Amino acid sequence: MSIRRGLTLLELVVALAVGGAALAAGGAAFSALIDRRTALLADADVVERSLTVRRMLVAWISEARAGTASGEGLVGVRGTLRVPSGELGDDLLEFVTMADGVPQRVRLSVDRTGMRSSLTAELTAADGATARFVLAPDVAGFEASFATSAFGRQEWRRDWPSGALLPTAVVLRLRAHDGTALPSPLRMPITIPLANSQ
Amino acid sequence: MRRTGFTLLEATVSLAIVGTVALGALEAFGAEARAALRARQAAPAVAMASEQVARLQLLDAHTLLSLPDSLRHGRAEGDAQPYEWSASVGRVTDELDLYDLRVEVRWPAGVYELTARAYRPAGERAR
Repeated sequence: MSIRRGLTLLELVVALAVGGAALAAGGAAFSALIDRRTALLADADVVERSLTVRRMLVAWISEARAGTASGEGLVGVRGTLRVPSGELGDDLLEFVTMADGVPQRVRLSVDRTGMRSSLTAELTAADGATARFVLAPDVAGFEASFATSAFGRQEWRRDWPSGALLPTAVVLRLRAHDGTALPSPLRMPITIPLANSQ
Repeated sequence: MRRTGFTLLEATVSLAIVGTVALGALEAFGAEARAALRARQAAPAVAMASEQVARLQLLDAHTLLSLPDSLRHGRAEGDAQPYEWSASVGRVTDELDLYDLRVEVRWPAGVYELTARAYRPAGERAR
């Protein structure tokens, strides 16, 4: 004798209706959860990146060193920290750093060629190899000030014309475009004591 | 031959297994988001602490031992939650001209502390 008893159609329909209602209720909440998570991960990524950029700037500038006439094969670099006057204002900073153990020329500038300007770094190694990359997007400009302790008193200058001497510290302030804000690690000033200043 | 569907016990056990697996997956999912949130909240604190330590590094011995209020504590808003930092400086015991710098950043969900040392030979006014 064989008794086969599966679900009746009515049972199946009721079960599907109940399951469907539960899925619909949970689905909306779940998709909201996914959206929030995606936004959170993206935001965390931006903030962590900007913290890395901040650390990179600190590492480079703290290991800046005074220029020499020969420049160890670095073409055209006599100065270490140079802020040219003119239209660009403060938005350019050039120096030689030993952050990676070998001399590298770093040129920080604000690239205004794209839709939105960005903080750009150009690294030139002793053999002339150059790498250029965006450090931080949406940077409208930056200001640098330089501390000097000549004559025993600390003073702050808006420019640093000397290549042979180093300031005791550099403070960088990045500016955002109007109506926008930079990620918090880049919003606050970046104070960098120089390791090799005299 | 007698064929029946699942017994209630079988159905319950299978649901329990599926439920446990689903719960584990959901938990891993949430853990990743929580870790990202913690990192996101800690990043401004890390930046703030290193900034305050860098400012302390610029001071001479005299100023280090009598920190002005502006270098002693402060807070920053505008990042969805307040971050408060406080700094303190002490002499390193049994060491001449060596100072302990300590900066603590607090926010509602955590604390970040950064310490450093500064060497200020007597007679040198500023670095």
